[in-house]
Amino acid sequence: MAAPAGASELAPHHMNAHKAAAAASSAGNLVYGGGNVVTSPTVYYVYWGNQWGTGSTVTNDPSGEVALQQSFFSHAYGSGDTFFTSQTQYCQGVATGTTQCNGAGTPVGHPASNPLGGTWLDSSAKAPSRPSDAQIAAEAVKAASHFGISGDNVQVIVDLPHGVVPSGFKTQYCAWHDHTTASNGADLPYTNMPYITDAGSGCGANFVATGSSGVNGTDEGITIVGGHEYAETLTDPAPSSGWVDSTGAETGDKCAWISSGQGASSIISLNGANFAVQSLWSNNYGGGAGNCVVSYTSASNQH
Amino acid sequence: MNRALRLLPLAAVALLSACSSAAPASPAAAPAPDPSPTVLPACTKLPEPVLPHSAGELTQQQSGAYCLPRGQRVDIFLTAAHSGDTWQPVQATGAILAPANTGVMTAPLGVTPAMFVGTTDGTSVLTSAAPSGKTWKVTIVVKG
Repeated sequence: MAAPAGASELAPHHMNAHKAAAAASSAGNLVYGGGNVVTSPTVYYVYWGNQWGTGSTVTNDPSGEVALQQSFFSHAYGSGDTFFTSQTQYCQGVATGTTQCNGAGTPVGHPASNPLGGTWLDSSAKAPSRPSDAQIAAEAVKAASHFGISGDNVQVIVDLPHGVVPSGFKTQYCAWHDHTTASNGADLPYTNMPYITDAGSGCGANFVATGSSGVNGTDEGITIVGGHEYAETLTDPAPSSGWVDSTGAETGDKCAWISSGQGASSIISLNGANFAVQSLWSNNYGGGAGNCVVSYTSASNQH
Repeated sequence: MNRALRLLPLAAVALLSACSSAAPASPAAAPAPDPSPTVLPACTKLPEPVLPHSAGELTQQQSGAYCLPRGQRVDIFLTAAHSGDTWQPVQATGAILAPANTGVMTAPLGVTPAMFVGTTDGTSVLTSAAPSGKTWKVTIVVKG
């Protein structure tokens, strides 16, 4: 496939100097665990709590996270997205232990059109100031019922409002994904997505030099972390039955916070709009050696 | 305790067994005692976890011995004191701990995460080091 117009990497290897360079994981390629991948991805957002706004519209979003998140996923489709395409090399329905699908099985899906399936402001109550894992999972189930969705092809992102800090946010994690059971008994992948800019540089603010891209440096973590969790849900929606390496790391984890060299975080264009992202792991890079990439049009055309 | 040390009592019993088999059997002899069970060291309850499906978590602030129920997971988060002093990946001695999925989360910049599941009873030592020379060590005691 030819590299599409408007899908170029704008600021490769152009990082802020004060960041320490991380290296890609040395734990080898991702290995298939026998479970599902996401073959037809759709993303749903629930803005949890009336701290976002008391009606049906978000009115309290000081960093503009809602608009940026929606724009990011609304541009992640078709030939204008050569970022998430690296994950389509992973698949399901092949032997456990597989590292190269080579066209076998059913691949991770790459949406042909906007994968954002819906958004909902759940303003029925105030979100807890320190929600537990169980409360976040319950909100995902509530949102899935609202949208009428379930199964591993959907993912519900539970967006926590500004000022809400679940235990471990900022210090132990920026976000995480997991799965639970929807009210109809089906599997339900979901993501705990706190208000990322509350964490500042620890969760990606100003990690990539913006140059003339138009990207706001303080907002970079929103799409760096958002892309990380989305890609990991694509390849491992029911952790850890999908694709993980020998140390248990998923595709985004292996490439987090690389600031120079191969796989450095960059500002990329998705269908003409610019976003900061971290790279994702590609098993078939370098003839199967594997490495972190930010652009992928084929096994022989990736970097 | 490493695997070799854990096997020592068994080897000793096997040796004694071999020696005693050469001696005349006595109908009145009492049955050979069972090998002494492995005595695990005392340990402390893990601090409360922040991630789902975890038994508890450790940071660079902890040291000593912590209990991990067999089949459950311990999470480790080692935070760099400053840029450039990131902790190395956490290593576990022996084979009683299996690496678990750390990729479910995005760790903050400067945090080295690790997760292990206790697979069999015994002890394992977790270690890491930072470029500044700091070291971290915790003993995990897995018990069913």
